[in-house]
Amino acid sequence: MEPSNLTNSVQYLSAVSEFRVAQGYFSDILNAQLIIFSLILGAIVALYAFFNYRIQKEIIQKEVKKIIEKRFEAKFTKELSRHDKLLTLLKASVERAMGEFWSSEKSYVTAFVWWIRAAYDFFQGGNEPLTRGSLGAAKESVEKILDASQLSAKDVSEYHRLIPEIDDKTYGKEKQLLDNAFRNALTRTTTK
Amino acid sequence: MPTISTNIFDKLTPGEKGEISKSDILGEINFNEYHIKSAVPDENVKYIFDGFDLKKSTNEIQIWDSLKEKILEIYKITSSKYESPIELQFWIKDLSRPAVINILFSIKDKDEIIDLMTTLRTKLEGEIFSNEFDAGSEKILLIGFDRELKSWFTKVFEKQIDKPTASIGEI
Repeated sequence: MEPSNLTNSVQYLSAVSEFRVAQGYFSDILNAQLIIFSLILGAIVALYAFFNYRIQKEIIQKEVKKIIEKRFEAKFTKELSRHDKLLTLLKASVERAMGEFWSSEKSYVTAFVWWIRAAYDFFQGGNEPLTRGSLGAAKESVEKILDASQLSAKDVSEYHRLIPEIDDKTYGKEKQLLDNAFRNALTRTTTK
Repeated sequence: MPTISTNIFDKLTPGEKGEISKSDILGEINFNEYHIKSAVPDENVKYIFDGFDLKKSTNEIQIWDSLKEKILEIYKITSSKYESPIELQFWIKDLSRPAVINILFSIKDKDEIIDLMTTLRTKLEGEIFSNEFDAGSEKILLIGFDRELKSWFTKVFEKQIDKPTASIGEI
């Protein structure tokens, strides 16, 4: 082998060796980066999965809570409304009993006020026959009042406040008859 | 002659009766007992004013002030007869107009009188004597003070049975 060829071969082998060293070095860097990226990616995936799980859990919990609340509320409202109506009707029954009692005692002013309250509450409770009956009884009471001056400002205010609340379409006739009777009572105000 | 009647007439002394029946501006007032036409006694203390010309009283501030003073005087005399606070019922009737006027209110405290009488005058002036209610014959007007709503109300009763009654606004 000629010396020049030998020199070339040595140079070539040296270059190959340097290249291998460099290749190994970059390969190590790439591996390290790959591991780091893999770890980051893994962490992101894990965090995503974790939050996704939590969000889903919260959503499901919220939805379940909403459904339960809705059902409870609907049932509760219905029950409350039913009880409210029952209580109003119970109140109206007591007022009706008071109306009957004071009528029997011939205290027609007091009876009139109780019948007005009973009519209003029977109307609120949705009992049509007893609303009509109470309006009729109020009319009968006011017809028996010999002197309208016996009515107090409070009695008249209640009459004026409660009766217009009762539906005109259904009870217009009864209300009109009651108003007429009240008008006639006003003409019976005497001072001497 | 204007008349004031009360169901506690017997509780008042001759001097107190004299005070109530005397007024320089309102003139001589016939003060007497209110006889209750009822099977049961009326527990409310009542004063019924009759024969007062409400339109004239409303138009002339001096007469209105005298009416207010009379109510205040009545309140002071009556409340002195009771140990605990009382609620006095007042019913003012005016039959002199084509539409009969009935005014009904109660007083629990003397401080209420000024406010009540001021708002009543405003109502009579602006709502009752300024429109058709004054001219409308055979109507009955009921003007009351609702303590719960703290306002005056008016209910108009028509003569005809078939005509609906009307309620007009509150002040």
